[in-house]
Amino acid sequence: MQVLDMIDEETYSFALKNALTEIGNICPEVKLSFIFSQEGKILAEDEKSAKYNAEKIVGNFEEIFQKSHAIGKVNSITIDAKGGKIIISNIQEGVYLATVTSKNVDMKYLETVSRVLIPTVLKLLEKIAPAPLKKPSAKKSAAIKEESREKTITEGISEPVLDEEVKPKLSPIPTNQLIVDTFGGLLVRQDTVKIDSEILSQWSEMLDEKNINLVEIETFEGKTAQCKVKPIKDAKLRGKGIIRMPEKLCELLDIKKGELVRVRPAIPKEV
Amino acid sequence: MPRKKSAKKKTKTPEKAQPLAEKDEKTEMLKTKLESIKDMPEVIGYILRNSRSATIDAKDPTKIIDYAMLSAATIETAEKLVEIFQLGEAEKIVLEGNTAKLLSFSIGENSISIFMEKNAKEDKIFRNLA
Repeated sequence: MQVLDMIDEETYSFALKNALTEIGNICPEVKLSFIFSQEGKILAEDEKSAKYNAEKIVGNFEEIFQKSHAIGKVNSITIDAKGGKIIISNIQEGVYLATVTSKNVDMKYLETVSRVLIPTVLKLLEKIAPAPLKKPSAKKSAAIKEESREKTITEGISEPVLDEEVKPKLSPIPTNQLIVDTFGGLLVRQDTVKIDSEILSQWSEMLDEKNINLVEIETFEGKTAQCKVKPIKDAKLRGKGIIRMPEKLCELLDIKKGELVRVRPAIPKEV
Repeated sequence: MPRKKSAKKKTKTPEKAQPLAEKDEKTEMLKTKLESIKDMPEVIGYILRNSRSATIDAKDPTKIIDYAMLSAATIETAEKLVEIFQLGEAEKIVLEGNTAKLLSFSIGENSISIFMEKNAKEDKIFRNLA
């Protein structure tokens, strides 16, 4: 459960960070923004917030939250200063969005954007566990293709298919973040990975595909590979949010056991 | 020697007393304004603080301590935040809750906090006082 929580958190954080960046793009008056929980945890922050210690900043609100029963909990805080504004708004039970803006910000517009965009993203994330993730750049895909060609694959072991032969469907492809678990051995097929049967049936349902036989794996470095997929048979390993990958494939993708990868189903191109 | 000392006191005392009297006069004027604002149905209480005195008045006296603590925490947090983000001095702070809201600001050396109903127009009250 803890592993799954961690994955969920990362997915949420990624999607929310994108939403915050979008708010910054739509409202150029926004200097920085971040989302935090009433418990003082930073859930997501935009790039500009990185130069501040957001957790320390959020710690300042603890006392207000504790004493806010006098006004029926905190809904929003607006600090109008000579050089700008700080706006804290409640976007979900116990979740707050903090924005620092310039003095002349259109408050109504900002409120509309942030009170619509962020809760919509949160609702979407709640409905569909996997978050929409960016595809790796063409450059990075090409790099991994080059690297894979250089590797000598032993006889009888087929190489994982890289990019060309299969093409993901245009409909929204579900993506899961899974933790890498490796396995090796002489008789191990190097082109096959194993993931939870539950995830596979979820994907089948979402994509209306009878069987998911191929997956696309993307590392956080942007390297991708497409492999055959089979369900994890070992009951002890089920429901842990892991992907069992052959050691050689891990070497090829330059990843180690315990690292996170994005995994999505790949639907073969119809000829 | 003792004569010199007393002379010094005499010259200094009027200089200090003058601005203090002025300050107290301003505070008294603010207090009068706040008293009339408190009569507005949407206003539920106010706090007026400066370095020498504090006046707290609430329609529900049982909430005086809660209001005072919340107001102090809000002002302190706002001060810290504007310093962190280098936004200069805080001119106005509005803390909105689900049942009531708080408006805090400063006039000279006086710090004013007004508690009001959720539907009250804090801008109108702010303009009345500032």
